[in-house]
Amino acid sequence: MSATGRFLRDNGLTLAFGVGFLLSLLGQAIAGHAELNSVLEAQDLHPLSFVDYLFTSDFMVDVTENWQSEFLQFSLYIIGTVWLVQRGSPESKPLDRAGTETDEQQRVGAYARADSPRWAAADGWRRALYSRSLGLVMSLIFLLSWLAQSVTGTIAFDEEQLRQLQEPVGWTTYVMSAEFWNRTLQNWQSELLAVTAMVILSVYLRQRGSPESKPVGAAHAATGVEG
Amino acid sequence: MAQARVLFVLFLLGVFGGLAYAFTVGLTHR
Repeated sequence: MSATGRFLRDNGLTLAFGVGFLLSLLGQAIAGHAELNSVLEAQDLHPLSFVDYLFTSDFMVDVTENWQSEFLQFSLYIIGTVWLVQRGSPESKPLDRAGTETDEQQRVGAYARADSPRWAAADGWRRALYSRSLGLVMSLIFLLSWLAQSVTGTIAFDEEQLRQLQEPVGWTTYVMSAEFWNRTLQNWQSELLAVTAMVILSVYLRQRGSPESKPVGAAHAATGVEG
Repeated sequence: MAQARVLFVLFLLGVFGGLAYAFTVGLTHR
């Protein structure tokens, strides 16, 4: 296999979803630009060029409100599955392993192996930080996206207010507004529904070959067994 | 694994760069 072929195979999951993300973002920008311009034209205002649209809070609030909910979903899932289990779900750990587990099970400190990450073997803050790094980075992206949603949402909302000759509002008013919480919670509810579906449907349904599923012949009661 | 590390770094740069971009747009009132 050529070097390129090997690169594509070894990283197919990241590359396929990454390219899908970029194409979807481009599509969102094209559709969002057309939608905003139709609003502007209906109000006898100048349409924006596509490039100008990419620099608007109108575009950025739509992007970041969806980002925050996705990263909230995965943060909650990563951290929640440490302690919460579901009998029969491959998404769950075995019932007796709820919690942060022993150093031996986690291969940290004295139990680290030759090929363990260096900070897994380290003591003190390095190990403490590295032991939580996945949840921390996902949560950080969630919090920053949500904050960015609130900042760009304020500007986009005020823009709309001004177009309708209404009083603009500030950030503190906006984050307590129905518009902000409607945008936020409509995304949260769908993410939490999808997670609930993954956990409970995977008890009884199977997808042959997927690591998100148990093996097709696995018992419904088998917990924490991935295909 | 060296290739995965490049993708890992690109991902972080892309996401945090995107967030920095969003904050710039919002905070400069565009």
